[in-house]
Amino acid sequence: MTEIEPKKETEAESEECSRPFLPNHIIEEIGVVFLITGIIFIAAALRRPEPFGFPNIFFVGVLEMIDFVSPLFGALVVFAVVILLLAMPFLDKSEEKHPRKRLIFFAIILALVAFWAAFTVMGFI
Amino acid sequence: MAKESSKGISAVLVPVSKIFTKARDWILARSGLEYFMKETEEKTVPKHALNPAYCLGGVTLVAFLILALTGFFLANYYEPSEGGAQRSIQIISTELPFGFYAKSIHSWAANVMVIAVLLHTLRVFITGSYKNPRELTWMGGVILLVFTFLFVLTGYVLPMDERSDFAITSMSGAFGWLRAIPHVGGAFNWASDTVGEALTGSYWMHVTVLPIAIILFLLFHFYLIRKHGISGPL
Repeated sequence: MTEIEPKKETEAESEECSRPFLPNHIIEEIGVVFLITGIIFIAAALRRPEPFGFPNIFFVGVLEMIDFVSPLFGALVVFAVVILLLAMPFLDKSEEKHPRKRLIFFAIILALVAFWAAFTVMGFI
Repeated sequence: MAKESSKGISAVLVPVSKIFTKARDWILARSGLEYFMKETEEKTVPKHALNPAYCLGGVTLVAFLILALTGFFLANYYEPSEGGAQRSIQIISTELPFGFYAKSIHSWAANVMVIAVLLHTLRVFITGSYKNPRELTWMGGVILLVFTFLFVLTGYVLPMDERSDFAITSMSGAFGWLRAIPHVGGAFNWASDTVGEALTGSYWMHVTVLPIAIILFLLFHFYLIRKHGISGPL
């Protein structure tokens, strides 16, 4: 059962909080905002609208997987992955945060990424 | 002479600045934002918050805001009908001043948003940041990730070009069965395999349902980030 009371930050984590939000952090954040906006605006001016060509790299893998199994089963796999991600905090309840100490869950995510990458490659062949 | 004119200027500026200060204090006191402002002035953030890996959520937000602005602009000229979609895209691309540029920025920002949100999710997972007390922040984030993909897919339908066929095939293949649900099936017209239905359904989702849903979940996400703070490094 998940604890009701939220966990308090440890002292080591609290000591990290030493930068004032105003004005130091916010000025640097605004710098990042300008940087990202600049990259998007310059990229849009230099290249055609579809940056990664067609078909879109993000969806080829999912479509290929749906083709490989069946539409209904494919949709169920998509739903299952979303449910798995939603449930992750309740499955991985240990205090450990480092991936090396959470090998099972890290392996599950690596497997998902590997399947997605494999179906994406299959989609482009 | 110069001294006299500077005195004249300050005679005007000082009362004006006093009026502004008084107005600001009144707004803060009446709205309850006084507490929020005081809290913000005293707020500190972890040193690692400016590490690029921890900025990916912010990058996603910037891309979303650019998408909203260019989306407002494009929606003024877009016609969501089978015959009008391609024609309006043609007008935006060739005749409207900065139309092609706005369309290009919209497309680039969408790609930046998807890449940033995927990397953000991966970073949160790798650093175990979804653990107590940030479970709800993670769950809201996963829903936002789903909304982002739906945003992109419904956006692909709108130009009525080769990408639209791809998006309609994907959505109807994966989610078309949702339309068979009694009473609420009509809400899933975006997953129809009929071009006209898919176009109007996708447009409705893209400019109404998803923006409202994403803004609500973003506000919830930010509230939780403010409540629990940025997670610690590994």
